[in-house]
Amino acid sequence: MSVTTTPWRATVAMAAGIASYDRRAQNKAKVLASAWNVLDPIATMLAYYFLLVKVFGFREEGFILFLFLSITVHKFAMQGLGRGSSTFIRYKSLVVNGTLPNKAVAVYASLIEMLMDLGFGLLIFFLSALAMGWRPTEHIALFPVLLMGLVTFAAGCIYLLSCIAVYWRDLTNLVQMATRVLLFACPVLYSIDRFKDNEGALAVFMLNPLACYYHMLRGVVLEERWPEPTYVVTAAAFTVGLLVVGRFVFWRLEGRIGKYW
Amino acid sequence: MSAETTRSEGDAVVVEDLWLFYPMLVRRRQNSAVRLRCLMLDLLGRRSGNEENPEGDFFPALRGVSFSLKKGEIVGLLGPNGAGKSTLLRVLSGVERPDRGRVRIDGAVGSLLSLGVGIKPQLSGRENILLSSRLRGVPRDRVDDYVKEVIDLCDIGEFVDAPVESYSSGMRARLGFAVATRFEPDVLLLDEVIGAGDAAFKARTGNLLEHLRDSNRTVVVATHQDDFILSNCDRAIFLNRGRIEMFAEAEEALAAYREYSSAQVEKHSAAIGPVATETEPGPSPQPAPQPEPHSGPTPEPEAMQPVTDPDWHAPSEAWQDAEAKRGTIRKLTPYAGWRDEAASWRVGFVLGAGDRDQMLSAFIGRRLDPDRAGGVALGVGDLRSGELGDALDVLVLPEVRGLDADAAASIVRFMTSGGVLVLGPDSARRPAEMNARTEEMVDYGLGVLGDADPAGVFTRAWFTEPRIAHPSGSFEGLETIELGRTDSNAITGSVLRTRQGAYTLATARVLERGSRESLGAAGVLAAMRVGEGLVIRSGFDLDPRVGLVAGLMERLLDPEVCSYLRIAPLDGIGVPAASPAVRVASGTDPVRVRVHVSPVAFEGGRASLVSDDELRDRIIRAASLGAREIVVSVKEGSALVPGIGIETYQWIDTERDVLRACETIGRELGVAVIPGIDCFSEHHPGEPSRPTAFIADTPEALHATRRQADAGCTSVEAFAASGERIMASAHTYAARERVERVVRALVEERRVEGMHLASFRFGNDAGGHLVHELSAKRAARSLRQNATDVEICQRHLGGLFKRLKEVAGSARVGVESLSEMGYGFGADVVTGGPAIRKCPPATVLRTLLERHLAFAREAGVGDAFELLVDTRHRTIDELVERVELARAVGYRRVMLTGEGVLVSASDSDLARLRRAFGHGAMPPVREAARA
Repeated sequence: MSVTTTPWRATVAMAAGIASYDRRAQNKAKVLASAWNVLDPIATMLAYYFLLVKVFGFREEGFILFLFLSITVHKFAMQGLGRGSSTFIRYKSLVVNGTLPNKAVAVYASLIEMLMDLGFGLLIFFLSALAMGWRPTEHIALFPVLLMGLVTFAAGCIYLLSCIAVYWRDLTNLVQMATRVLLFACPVLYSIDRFKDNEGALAVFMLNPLACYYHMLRGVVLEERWPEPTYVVTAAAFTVGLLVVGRFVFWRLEGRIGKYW
Repeated sequence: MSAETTRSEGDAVVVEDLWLFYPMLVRRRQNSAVRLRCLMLDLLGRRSGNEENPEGDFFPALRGVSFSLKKGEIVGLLGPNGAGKSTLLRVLSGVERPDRGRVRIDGAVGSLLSLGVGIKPQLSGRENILLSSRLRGVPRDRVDDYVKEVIDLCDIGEFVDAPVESYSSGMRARLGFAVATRFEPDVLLLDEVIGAGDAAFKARTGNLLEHLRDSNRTVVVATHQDDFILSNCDRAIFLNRGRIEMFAEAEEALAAYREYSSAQVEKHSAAIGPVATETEPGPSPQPAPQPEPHSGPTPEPEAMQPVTDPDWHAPSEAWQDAEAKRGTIRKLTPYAGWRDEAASWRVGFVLGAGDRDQMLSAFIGRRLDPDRAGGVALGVGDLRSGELGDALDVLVLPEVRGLDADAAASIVRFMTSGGVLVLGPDSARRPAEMNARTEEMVDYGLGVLGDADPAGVFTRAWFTEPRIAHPSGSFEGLETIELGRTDSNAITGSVLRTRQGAYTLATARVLERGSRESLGAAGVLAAMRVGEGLVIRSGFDLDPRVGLVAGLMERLLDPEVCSYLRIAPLDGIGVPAASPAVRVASGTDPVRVRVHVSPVAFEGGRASLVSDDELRDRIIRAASLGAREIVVSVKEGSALVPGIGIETYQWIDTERDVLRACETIGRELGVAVIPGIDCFSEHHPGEPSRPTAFIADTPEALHATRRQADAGCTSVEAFAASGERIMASAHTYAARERVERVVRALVEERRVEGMHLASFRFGNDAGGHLVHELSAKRAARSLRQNATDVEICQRHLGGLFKRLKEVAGSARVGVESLSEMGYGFGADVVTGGPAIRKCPPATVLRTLLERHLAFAREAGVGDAFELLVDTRHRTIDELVERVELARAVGYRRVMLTGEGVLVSASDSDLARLRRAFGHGAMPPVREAARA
């Protein structure tokens, strides 16, 4: 039940405000505070670089950039799962008091926080890439489009999981497990091209929209390759489907979750 | 099925046939299944409850609620807990969607449904206001004005820039209310937030609501504050079990609710049944005096009968005379004027808002009406504002739940201004930090007279004396007697009968027609206030540590029925000069009166060190009361004193933060004085008071202190050789240097004859686990720095000892009781409390004893160095072991303190102990106890 109608722009501004102050509250007791937004992706990349390149000796050409981009977008996608299951736990106080005009604002706030992290991550990535000699090609024009698709996919995740997690608390644990599994099940540390001769494996990857997104994103940024139609259709279908299902579930449950807190 | 928002003419809120079902999430195994079932039902859009048969897995929180509210009216929402008030407000605010029915609201809704929600505690008040401006869509150019207006509205002063997590509940209420009302929503919903504020806040709230009414806004307020309903609401809804029982004018609805509450209390009492049926009254060898006539109605015939032990008897006159001659009891001087004096007391009853408090409120409201008793009813919020001492003589606090630091500080102020505080029975659910606060209050002379409190500090306060602590060993039995009765209440007390035939009042309770619900001391006082008085058939032991109880009881005891008042040797009483306990204690010999002087002043809810002159005056004032010892004390517990503790709390986020915070505090305030030196004096009957033990962390520390004493104070040797004298002890860390300076000046003027310096104590109840860890780490660090005395005062130690061993990595870690350490028995690390009762192995004990004696000899005070062994919580075997070890090491003298196990020891055990002492006499305290 919404007792006030809020314009879209105002809703986004409200969500941005929540995200901003939530981040500020998180940084309250930290010396480096907002600097962690930059330090975190750098530290993550350095850790993986050290592990995979220095320890395991992955020295293929362009592997470092391949790895950095994969980790950045994968982190965003996994945040979609994690934030999805914890959205109403994070913003419970605002929701319970009726401070928000509608509960979807909490979803938007979560999404905006994720986008802030993604923005910092991509900034670090592109700066690093430029420093390492990477130069953009015309393929990069598709990058925002694909990124938009990934964001929509994450929004669908949050819609779907946020309410269900209030009913069914075990979901949070399952999401944590799924996050760990997906690091290896998705082509983050490796490329789908490794399996181009294995049709069975490729078929399995086609069931994973994240694999499609990662493959396409790396293609347009690093490999000067236009996305294959199959991957585009698969990713779009999953994204739209997830958004529709998630929004429906959210619409059904948002007014009921107060009973289960 | 759904509520929707539409606009209509005239009515601001229209609710039609509202039903809301909640799942029964009570049985753990079914919990997940029910949740999943609900998930599926809600996904499919199926209703989860059945209005026609509202039982089963879903219960209706709202049952067909229908009403409409006009614009410009303030409506109260009344009802017992669980009636559905909060649920209704959540539905109105849109947080929950009803299962059936419609809600139509004309305009924007603002809500404040609970304290703290909607507010980010990590952020400051100002930042939260800024956040609210974003949520409300305030234009950027208007934000500054908005913030200023809200700050003016909430009126929390400089605290607006402090983190909200450090706010009291009243301040949160102010902030939340200001944010919620600033926008003047068309419909404002408030749930139980009024009660958290003080009187000024309530008045301001009333004005704001009046303004909203004038602006044609509608307000719905759920509250248990009857006076608020009466003074502010136009109409009220009495909600019960999800149904509207009445929707009428505020007075009418409130009357209906009060009638319902009263009926519930009576029903509850009747269901419990009379206590008297449990034990048949037996013949009494000494007829119980009758209560004095009273003006109230005659007790009903079925009223409770006295529960009396047939063997119960008063001590003989001869025994009383003998004891009075020895000075261990004080024959009561008839004091017939207490009734008149009591009539002029200004009594405040603090009524809370919880279930139990609600019942107590109803009980007091009906049976012991504060107005009739000449008292005033206060909310917990009232404690935080104003000076209670100016308005009240006696404060009755049925329960301490719900008190925060502000309220506790206010109570402490009240105590230090001479007020009498009476606590009722307490709940074991009290959180740990509350324990710490009440412990602090106890230090100020808090009187506690309530039911046993097995988990809390009150037990320690009241039952500290070993005579009382071990009824099975020291007493012949615990009995329940009727102390008296009011028009409808029987007042009973539990007494412990000693071997000497004296009786110790352990608890007192007021029973309403046999109800087990107890009002404890609150009830006793209330009964007295209504003119009934108490009937006590014999004399009573009183532990003056609970000093105010002594003062109170002196007034309560009727000389016609109570022949004597026994004052146990004092170990510490409250500071207030006006305290009856001081009068009682100072006129009773032989007792050692130790007066605690606080170097802290409270202003505006914050604590600060007083000026040197003020501290000097306080010490002299305490001395003029007849105190033999003066302790200037800012205990660890004062970390909870507003101004010190609050700041500490703000920093406690992680263990590292705790360490950093304490180091910061240490630098700023001079905390953590290690190594230090501790002196203890012990008064022995028939002997002058003098220091008997010295503990130093290092020989250097002992030398340094001795040089200090030689330079400015009476020398240590002079201490040992002197007669009775006043000594001041600086047992503090925050104010240590200043206290030392002031006391030294007093010593030089011969106003005070000596000074003791106490060592820093680790441990704090305030911070729970984090502080445990902190204590362990700092203790370990001190050990590594060759400190040998690290004292950890901590209850509920849990795994601290283990942790300490891990961190210290040293076999030197011993475990001893706090009390033993407190009396000078050295251990490298001493922990206390019931959680750990282990004793260090003999080898560790011996090492420690040798080390301490070596220190003392190096400092030239070896002859004055004695070992004091606390007999409490010790077995005879443990005492024998210590005595033998001490003699073997070369201690000149070993003293036993307390009575402890000695009282109930068999003759053979005593003989064994005597043999351990060798040619030395048994400690005087033992002789006194056995006499």
